[in-house]
Order: sequence, then C-alpha cells, then structure tokens
Amino acid sequence: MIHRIAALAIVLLLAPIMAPAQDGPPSYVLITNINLWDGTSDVLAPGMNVLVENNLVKQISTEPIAVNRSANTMIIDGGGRTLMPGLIEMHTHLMFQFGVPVSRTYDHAAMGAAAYEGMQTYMEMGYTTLRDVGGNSLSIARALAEGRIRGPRVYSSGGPIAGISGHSDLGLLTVDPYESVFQKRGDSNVVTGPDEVTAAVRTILRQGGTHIKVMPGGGVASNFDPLEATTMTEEELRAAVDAAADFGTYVCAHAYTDESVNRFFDAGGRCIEHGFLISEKTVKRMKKIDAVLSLQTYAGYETFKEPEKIPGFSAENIRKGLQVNAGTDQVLRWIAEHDVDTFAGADLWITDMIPLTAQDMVVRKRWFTDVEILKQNTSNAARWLAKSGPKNPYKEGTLGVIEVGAYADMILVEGNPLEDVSVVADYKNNIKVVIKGGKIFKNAL
Amino acid sequence: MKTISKTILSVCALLFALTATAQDEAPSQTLFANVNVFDGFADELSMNTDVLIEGNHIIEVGQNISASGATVIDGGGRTLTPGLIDMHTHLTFETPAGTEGFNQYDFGGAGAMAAQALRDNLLMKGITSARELAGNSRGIAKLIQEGYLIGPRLYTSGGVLSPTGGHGDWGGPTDTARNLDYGAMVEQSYIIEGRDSVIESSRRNFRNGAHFTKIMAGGGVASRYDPLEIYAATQEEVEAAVEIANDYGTYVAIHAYHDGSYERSLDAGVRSFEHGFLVSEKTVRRMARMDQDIVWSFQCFMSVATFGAYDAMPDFFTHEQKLKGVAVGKGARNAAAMMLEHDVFMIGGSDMFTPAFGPRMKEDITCRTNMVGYPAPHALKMSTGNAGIVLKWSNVLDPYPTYDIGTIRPDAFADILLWDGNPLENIDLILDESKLHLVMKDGKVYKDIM
Repeated sequence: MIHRIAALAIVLLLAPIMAPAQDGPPSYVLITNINLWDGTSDVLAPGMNVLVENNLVKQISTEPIAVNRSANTMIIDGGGRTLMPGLIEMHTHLMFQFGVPVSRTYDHAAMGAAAYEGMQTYMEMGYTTLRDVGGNSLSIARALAEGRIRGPRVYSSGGPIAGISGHSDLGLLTVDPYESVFQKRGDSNVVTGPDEVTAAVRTILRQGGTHIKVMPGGGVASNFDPLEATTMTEEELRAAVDAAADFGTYVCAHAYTDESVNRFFDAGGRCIEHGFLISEKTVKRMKKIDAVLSLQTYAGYETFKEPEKIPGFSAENIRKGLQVNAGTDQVLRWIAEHDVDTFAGADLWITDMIPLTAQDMVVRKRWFTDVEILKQNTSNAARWLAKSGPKNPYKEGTLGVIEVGAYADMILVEGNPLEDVSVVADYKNNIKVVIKGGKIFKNAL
Repeated sequence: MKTISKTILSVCALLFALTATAQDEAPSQTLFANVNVFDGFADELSMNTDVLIEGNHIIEVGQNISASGATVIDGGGRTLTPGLIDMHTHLTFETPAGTEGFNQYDFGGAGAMAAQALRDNLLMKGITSARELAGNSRGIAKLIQEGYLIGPRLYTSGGVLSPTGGHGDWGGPTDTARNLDYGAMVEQSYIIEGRDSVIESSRRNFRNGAHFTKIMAGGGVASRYDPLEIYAATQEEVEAAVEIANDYGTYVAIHAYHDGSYERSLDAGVRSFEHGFLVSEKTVRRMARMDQDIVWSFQCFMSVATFGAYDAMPDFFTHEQKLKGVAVGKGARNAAAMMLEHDVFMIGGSDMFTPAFGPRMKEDITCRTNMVGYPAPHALKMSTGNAGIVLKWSNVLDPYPTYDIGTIRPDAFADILLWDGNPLENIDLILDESKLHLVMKDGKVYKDIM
C-alpha cells in the first residue's frame, strides 16, 4: 500500500503538465521519430511523425511536420519508440475497488473517491478508455466526459440487471434483495419480469448509461447463483435488448453456459462476457450470428487454476472456480479456431489487481498472435464501444486507432509490442508517455 | 488498517500480497537539517534548527541533532512549517454549482470530484489536514485514515443538522416533504425538527463516522429560504446537539452570523463558532472571556473579498443571496477587528469549494493579512497551531489520536512543509507553488522539487 501511494504521488506531480483548456487558441502536440502502430495493421510503420490538434489527430507523416514553437505547442521526441493507440479495457467494475464485501461498508461517495484513484492507475498503465460493465459509475463517466476530473474515458452500463439471486444480487442473505445498499445506490438492479427490466434499462440510459449489462447466468464469487443457474427468462432478456435497441445501443450478458448464452442469443443479444463453459456448437453459432465473446484469460486461466488459494473462497466458490478454469482453455481454442469476434476485458478491477490488467494480454499469447491481442485491446474493442450509438459520449472522433480524425489517445512504448505484447504489460518501465484527448497524462521520458 | 487489509485479500484473487511491505522494518528516520522553523505558534522563526522524524512523527527539534542512519534532507536555510490546516471545507460539494448541483451528479460522482480536490487543491498545495464543516465525507475520511485514498487528514462533521428552511435545507421550492431532496437522501444534511430528531440525526452521524457535530443555528448567504437574521435552530435543539456530542466525547460547531444565535449557542455549550460577521462587541467580549473553551472560525476570503461587492459573488447566487452576501461583507471587517482586539481564540477555514474557488483555498490565509491586517504569524497560526488544538477537541472520536497536529515539536505528526523564503515576512509566498519545495504528510513525501 505504501508503495502504491508513493507511485501515485509521482503521477500527481505530472498533473500540472496537462495541456491547457480548449477555450483559447488551439494546442498542439507533435510526436516525432516514432514507429507507428495504427491499431489495425499487422506491421509497424517506421519513422513517422504525428501531429495532434486539441483532442484529435491532425496529421500523420513520414516527412517532418512544421509547427510554430509557441507556448501552445509541445514537441515530444519519440526516440524510435512505438506509438500506438491507448489501451482499452472492456470489463471493469470501478465502483467496487475493495471488493464487494468491503464496498458494502462504504458509502457511494467513498467508493467514487476510490474509483478515482483506480482510474489514475489505469491511466498510468496506458488504459485511456474503460468499459464499466456493472456498477453505478454513471455520474463519474459524465464528469470525465465533461473534463471535470482526470481519468480515462469511461463507458458505463450502470448497475447490472438480473433476477433475484442472480450475479448482481449482492445483498446480504437477511436483506430483501430490493433493499440492498447496492440496489439503493444503483450499483445493481434486481428485477422481476419484463416491465421491471424495461424500467431499469430506461433509468440507466436516462442517467447516462452507454450500454446495458444483464446477468442471465450464475457467477463464481457470488453466493446465490450456481454457475449452472439461469437467472433471467427469455422474456426478460428480450425486454432488455428491445429497450436498449430503442435507444440505439446494445446489451452485453454475463453468462457461462450453453443455456444462458443461447437464451440471450434467442432474445436478440450479441455480446457475451465470460462464456467459459460453452460448447463448440455454441461457438459456431456465435460465428454465424456475428456475436462477440469477451473472455477473461488471466482470471480464468491463471487465477482459477488454484482457487483454493484464494482466501475467503468457500468450497462452492472453489468448485465454481475450477469449473471455469477447466473450460477456459478449450473455449479459447475454439474461439481462435473458428475466428469468432473477441475483445479483451481482464476483469481485474480491485485496487491492488488493476496493475495486473495487462497480464491478461500476456496470457492470451497461448491462443492468439501478438497483433491479434493488440487489436483485441484497441481497434476491435473500440468497434464495440461505437455500438453505443446515440448514447456514445465520444462522437467527435474514433477510438482505438491512430488515424487522421481519431481521438488523440496514444501511448509511447519502449520496444515493439507487435513482436511481444509483454513489453506493454511491464508498464512501469515501458509505457513512457500516455496521452488522452491530446492531453499529456504521463511523461516519463 | 490490518483488518481492512485482510478483508481485501480475502476478496481478491491475488496469489501474493502486494500490501505486506514495510510493516516489519524498523521505523526509518529523516533529519531536516539547517532549516528555520515556524512551530505553528511563535511570532518568529527558530533559526538554524534541525528536525528529526521517526516514521510518521517528530521526535526531536533542536540545534545540531546527530542521528546516525537517518536520511538527511539539507534544508539549506529554507523555512520549515507545519502542514497547513483548512478548518472549514465542503469537499463533497465540488460540483460546478456547489449545493445547487446536488441534482446534477449522484453521490458517487461527488466522491470522485472530492478525490481530485483532496489531491489538487489541498494535499499538493500543502494543506495536510482539513476540517469538513458539513457534507457526508465520512466514508472518504475513513478511506484516507486507513491509507487507501490520497488526501489530507480529514476530520468531518458528516451530514449537517439543519432545520427545515435552514442553511442546510438544499431541497427545491417544490419539495413537499422533508429529507426528500438528494442532499438529504445521501446524508449531506439531516433536516431536524425538535430535540428528538436532533438526537437521532446526531447518533446516526456518529455511528457512521462523524468526528463532531455541525448545526445550522442561524441564517446563511448561499441558501434559499433563510434570511440572515433568523435563528433557525431553537435553544432546545442546539442543547440537544451539544448533549449528544458530549455523550460521544466530542463537540459542536455552529453556523451563525448574529448575536442572538451566538448567545444561544454559547449558553448551550457549543465550542466552535463559524462566521459571526454580524456580532456585537458585547458578544465578542463574552467569547474572549471563555479563552480556549471556545473558538471563532473566520472565513476571510468568502466574507471580505468575495462578499465585498454584489458583482463579485458567484454567478449561481440568486438576487437575495447576493444581497445577503453584501451585508456579510460589511460586517466581516468589523467583526475581524473586534475579535483580534479582544484576543478571542481563533482559527481560519476557507469555506471555498466548487471549481471556481476550491483551487484558491490558501487565499483565505493571505486575505487575513492583506485585507484585514492580521500579522502574518497570527494568520498562519490560525491555520496551523490553533487549528491543531481545535482538531483535537474531537477527543474520543479523534481519527488521529496518537500525536499532535499543526505544530513542530516532539510527538507531533510529521506533517511538514519546506518553503523557499519566509512566509512570516511575506505571506503571499504561500500562494506561489514553485516556492513550496516539499510536502510531507504522516512522514511520507508527496511533493519534492528541492
């Protein structure tokens, strides 16, 4: 903890370097002498220069780019390092920084303050965009979009929707699920019947949600839902998909089994989180209907290898953990083999685990090439973020790529991540510069 | 800390403990050598002095201290002062429109904005402790105390007790029942009516982590329904607040401006008197006689500078709020002069929040010298030595009971600033962040540009 605070204190010192507000003349950042990975190609483009105007990429060139050396222009010599899009983490839960049991003992403001701190860690690691798939970070997402606080771009689902005893029923055994502290502050939405689902979806979107999270399947670390259980009816799932579609956005589902995944597909959903226990038949269906699977490789393949070592895990939690671990490798083989759409979501959101997020990229090497992994963490993730449609708070440019007109969310990396993504995971040594929206968050050159 | 650490490990899937470091080592020592020390009280610096830190607190102050094994920081003749203390903050009101913005962001958003203010506006600028005088920062204060959030030491009143229509009633004009506005729902305030509800609200507040009680005993400027002249809380309500605070071993602070509400509160046993810009000399004399049983808490910038003129007031104020501000601005210079003349025990707190004022908190300190003529050492004492004494009035509920705060002497917490220059001679120096060379809180360095 002491080390963590010391590390963050260093980031604090860098805060004043942030670019000025955009009311005055335009500000420029010119990054010279870099090898560019644009988020989509299979190779680096050597010897490039990138010019940022305000929050967007203005020009990319092999030729030197002329700029006025004014107070509004910052020039960074990339020194032959790799410039690539800021990383995107597609599966976090910002409002539960100390885990569910501890979160229960703090109020919403305290957890919001803790989320602020967690977000600074993500930024230091090069994650310039996060998708929150469960928890009431809706006002925080808004404050970020308005530039009132520092941190990554956050796409938030608000509280996840599930039936009583589902994965987002986080209340205590003795408390009415509708009255839990999480329910009251919007960190969860326990519902019964399609009408309550519709109301929950509209309330979330009214408060700034960009997408919807439903939880039709059981979970590992929750207490009322065996993995095999299915905790939402097809009717309820369809209500969520339809209400979201009316706002032009999409629904993603927490689900592990064939039953819960296929029920969600039958109801019109296309975005699955986890899915560690599905069959090859379901994998083939995913390919056919153009669905996406977000798999948590570090959590599934490494952490749950020995779930008995996780303090506090009950015998049932351990059984569920081993079940997930057994499924991970097989499902990922099928996903790779059948070329199913996938993006990265590490699901490592507890304060002290956030620094492990990029390890999810390293574990992926077992099934994917380095370039595929990088796309899963940039352009392919951004393609799904854009499916928020009119609810997307960032419509000015594209995310996950470095191209003219894209948001200037970029990281300068020591080494070549296309040869080995591990260099990105060693963020303390290798992530030298982090820029979000043209503002320099970290500069360790 | 220990309990929470265990809980965290039981929750997360970490196979190794990131947190179990530095716990078993002997406390390290740091020696600040060759510094000129302001101890939080004296009118002059103690020249060419050394200050020895062990772990998180000061163990020795003197000349030519020898400490083998200590990390030596050569002060090079810089001025060493205690970390500053702001005795009147509202960190959970950081929306652009303050309390008028309660309906624009939820409480989680307010917490994230508070987290940034705690870093940017306070800790990194040398304010290493703060007293929250209304606002539900109980959970935030606890996270800081447990080492999980970067920020100053925070003593909080939690939700403020306010009668309907009082200074802590932030509901809209069309609200039909009490405690229905969002501020009250998330316990930024408790709308109280009568003795029993004061008792219930006080206990709820203490149960969840408040360190003292704040009650709105008079009208206010930045609120809609309360002319400055009203009493707001009854004698019985103020007495009930004091009774329950005493039961918990702590004290009561009041928001009030005029003789009537000050007299009631003095009778009732209140200890911390905020604002008071409309009081008479008679009341000031009574306060002076009570020595350090009570304290006057001055908000110089917001009263003298901001409320000095109608046009200088925040844009989101209504016409009535601006008129009240003008009245307060006039009274403030007068009250400040009387309080100093009669030597009333005093502290200062900025009362400055929102993105417009939050980054300027230290101007409340310089205001005391520049706008009402307080000697610089006195102005600083109000935000260091005296402030530390008042923080300790939380007594049984003190979240930092081990050592003193706001002073440089053995058995004080190592909350230390190094300045390039002497703020006792040039108070404006404290506004120049490039002159603030080092910020240490609890023995940890957060800023170092030496």
